[in-house]
Order: sequence, then structure tokens, then C-alpha cells
Amino acid sequence: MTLGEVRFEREALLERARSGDRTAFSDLVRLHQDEVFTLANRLVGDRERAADVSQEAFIRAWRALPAFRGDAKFSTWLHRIVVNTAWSLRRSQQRRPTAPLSVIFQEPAAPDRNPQDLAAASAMAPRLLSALAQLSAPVRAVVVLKDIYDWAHSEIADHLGITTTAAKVRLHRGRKQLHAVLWDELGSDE
Amino acid sequence: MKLRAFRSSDLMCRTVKGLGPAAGKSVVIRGPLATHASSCLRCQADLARYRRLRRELGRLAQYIEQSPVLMAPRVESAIGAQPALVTRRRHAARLVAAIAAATAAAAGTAAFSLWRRTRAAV
Repeated sequence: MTLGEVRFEREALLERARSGDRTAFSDLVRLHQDEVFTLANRLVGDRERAADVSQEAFIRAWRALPAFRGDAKFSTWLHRIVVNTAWSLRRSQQRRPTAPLSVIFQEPAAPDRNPQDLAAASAMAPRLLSALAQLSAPVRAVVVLKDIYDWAHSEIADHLGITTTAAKVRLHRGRKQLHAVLWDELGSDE
Repeated sequence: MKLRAFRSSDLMCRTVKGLGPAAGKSVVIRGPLATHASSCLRCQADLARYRRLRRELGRLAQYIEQSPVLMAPRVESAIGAQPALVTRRRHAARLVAAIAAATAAAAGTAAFSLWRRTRAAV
């Protein structure tokens, strides 16, 4: 199947899901679940909570799908929902802390999907992820969205409900902390 | 004189260090700071580490983790995309209703036959 055919098939799937076809939406969920989970995990820094966030994000996406105009890519739109969901769940958990759905999602952590992904990512990735997990959630979110997902400062500020200046300050702080934590690794040869 | 030069150099290093996290796309180190950084090994090492940090973070975009196995079925269940599950529930509900109806019919028949027998005896 060519790239064009794949794109056409995905667009058809999206169109069917937009018109209320649940099966088409489940196919979209299966196509995007790993990337959604990856973003959620980087934002919340915990696999169990990331699973909750991903699930909730997909449910919100399903509800909002008729309003999706297609101005942005579906995955970009989905990423925005994940960020909003992660942040709103975080706020609600801060108000009333609850236990995560650990019973449902008890399984060993799978570091990567396939060898190509492993090859594409750097050897430093596990250490980098562990250093990211040490940052506070608000700082980590900005670093993840700016340096990994290349979002604009204004977009990050909008989604996290902070000012652009605050986003820049957090990014500066986050990079400085990572620089300090990973000092030795960053100095070694690639 | 030497002390002053050292202090000045130390200040430059600290300034470059402070700019390090922002150095790159948006912030470019220029002027005396750039001159200093080009000859100071400490600043060069510092800036190189920041550059590498950003490069490595950028590479993480390709590092996709595997989601939990049960995630997709749970989403499908939440949005009602699993007809099998719904059908199974409907079957169970129909079975319960059928049993209730059969019990009611049996009780009704028994009551009717009892009433007829009583009436015949009278």
C-alpha cells in the first residue's frame, strides 16, 4: 500500500468516525493509542495515570469529533486533547486525590514498541526520560511540549493556562535542571 | 591586573552559563560574550552540553512507548463500540425476562386450575 493510499484510508476512517461510526473510531484509537499514551506518560510521568489520561482523552475526542474541522492534523488535534485532559485531571486530583486504576492496568512496563523505534531513539533516551521524570510536573510539561513536540510558547501557555513568559521561565528552569542531572552523559561521546 | 582579568572572565562564564538554556534557535550569543565563549573551554563545554540536550530531547519524539493492552477495549467499551458486549447483556436481559414470564404463566395456570377445581367441587 502506498503512502497516498494509507493517507486516503485514514481520511476515510476519520470521516466515518466523524459521522458517528464507532467501529471506525475504535480503529483510530488503535492507530493512535501508543503515541497518545507516550505523550500522556511524558506529561504525567506515571504509566498508570498516563493510561487514565489516554483513555479519558480518547473519550473526549469521541465527543468532540463532530466539531473537528480538519484544520490541523488529527494527531495534532488529539495531542491537544491529551494535554488538556492531563492538565484538567491533574487539577482535579490535586483537589481530591484518588487512587489510580492500577488493577486494570497492572502489567510490566514495555519500554518500546519495535526495534525501529529503538534505533530511531538515541541510546540516551531511557536516562533522559528518567531525568525528565525528576522535574516537577509544570516544568516537565513545558519541556516536553517545547523540546520534544516542538510546540510554540504561546500554544503551550494557552493549553497549560499560564502566560507565555511563565512558559519560557519554566522551560529555562527545566533545561537547566536536566543539564545538571545529565552532566556526565551529555559530555560523553554519542 | 591578573585578578581583574580573572574576575571579568569568570563573570563572562557565568553570563554564558545563564544564557545556556536559551541559546540556540531564539537566543544567539553575540559580541564580547561570543568572543569569550569561542576561547573559553568551560563555556564551550557548557554550551555543547545544552545543544546536545536539546538534540536528544528532539530525538525523543521518535521514541514511542507501548500503551497498555486493555486501553483500547476500555475506550471502546466507554463509547459503546463493542456490539458483542451489548448483545451479551441484551441476551441476559431477555433470558431473565423469559424466565420471569414462564414463572408467571405457570403460576397463573396453577391458580386457574385450582380455581376451576374448587368451583367444580362447589
